[in-house]
Amino acid sequence: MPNMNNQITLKGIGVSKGIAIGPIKVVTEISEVNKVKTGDIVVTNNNSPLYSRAFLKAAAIISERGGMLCHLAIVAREFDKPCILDVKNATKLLKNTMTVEVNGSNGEIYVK
Amino acid sequence: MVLTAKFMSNETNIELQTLCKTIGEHLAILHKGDTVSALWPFIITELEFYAGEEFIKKLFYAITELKNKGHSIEEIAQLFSNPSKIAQYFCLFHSAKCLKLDERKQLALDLIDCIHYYRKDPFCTNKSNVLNEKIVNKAILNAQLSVNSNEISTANKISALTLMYLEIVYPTIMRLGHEFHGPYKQENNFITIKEFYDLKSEFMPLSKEFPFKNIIIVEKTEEPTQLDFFNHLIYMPKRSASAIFIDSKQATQKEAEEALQKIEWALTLISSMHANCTKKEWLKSASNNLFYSIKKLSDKLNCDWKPAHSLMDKIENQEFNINLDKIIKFQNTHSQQELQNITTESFLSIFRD
Repeated sequence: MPNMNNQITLKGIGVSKGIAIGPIKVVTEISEVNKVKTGDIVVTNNNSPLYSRAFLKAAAIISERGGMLCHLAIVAREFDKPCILDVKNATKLLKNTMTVEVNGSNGEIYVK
Repeated sequence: MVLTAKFMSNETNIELQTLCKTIGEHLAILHKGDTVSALWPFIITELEFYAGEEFIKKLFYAITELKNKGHSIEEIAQLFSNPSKIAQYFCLFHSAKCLKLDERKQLALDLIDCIHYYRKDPFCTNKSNVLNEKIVNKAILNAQLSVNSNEISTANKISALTLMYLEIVYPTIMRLGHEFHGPYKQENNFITIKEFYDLKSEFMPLSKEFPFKNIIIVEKTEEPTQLDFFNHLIYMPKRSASAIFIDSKQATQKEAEEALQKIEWALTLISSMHANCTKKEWLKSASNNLFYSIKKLSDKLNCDWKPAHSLMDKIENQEFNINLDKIIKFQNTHSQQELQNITTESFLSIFRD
């Protein structure tokens, strides 16, 4: 259960279950993939397989795009990592200085 | 299934109606919210724009000729190797309008029959892709599974990375490279088999860097997995045990971890190479891969499986002129139910005059 003291910041479609807490890493350019550390919450606007290394290291994935059956959703379920898609303006609203809790079941993101 | 006089009329038979409804339902979910590749229910991809008609004509000719030469639908089905590949051909079916109405219907019904050779339920109406007993490899189904959480995690990562790799090598036509099937009931649990094959595509130079030809992952779950007509994994419950086969040999945990490292390294390299690939190169590779998928049918007829040179010229010279912005706006202003109805109707129109 999410901590009710946390503010619900954003909501999208929860496509892969699970809860993860970690620092935000916004990845909108391929050059940023190498900056992702194990345990980061990757936030992107690009679901390309070229970002696979970022997704591999991430504790959870948030994307501005995609739906229940898109490729990234299926990949996230394979990784067994929480994933929330179709989060409007996520790459602008979530900053690298933030730590968030991601709930892949209900699609909610809380800033800690 | 042979067309009867009834089906040759303007009526659409029940199997074709189910097909169109199934496609409408799944593609509406798939494309709602996915705003770049989403061209449905219009031309689904640039690949169809360039290669759709030629491929559908070749597919129709091959199946018809094989039947004329006395081959049964079971024999023809075996030449496709897996059912989801056949299902994926329906994504190109707006191009079937280049055929006569009866030909379109016959091709669709033949493809459904081919899928039925493999699947108990060709449309996966129960959200399962259970293959017929004669198709399933019993040794794989009954493989010794490990309950070690590290081994399960390694298998998950290999599966996810291989899926991402397939998205690069077989863009938009990924079912040419994998078949997820199950769930198969086993005592109080369920077994799902994830087969990745043809991982080294003859026509995608990037794939030379991929270390393996085929990978099979067997997973045990307490709840059933869910799969759809196009082999999308809709629901993946928590795995309680798994096994991994690499190039047809069951891997130890050490071998699986080494394989994971090799795949990760190859994917990094392939990703950087892919970033330098032009769209025309990508489309030519994708076209070749599409036609290569029916090579066994062409071989049986002693025909050349390759696409015509004119197709490569078309890719080289013709502009893809679909207004993507207009389509995205259309999708964003319609509900999923509306998109489903529109897609279903769009497909039904293929089977009407």
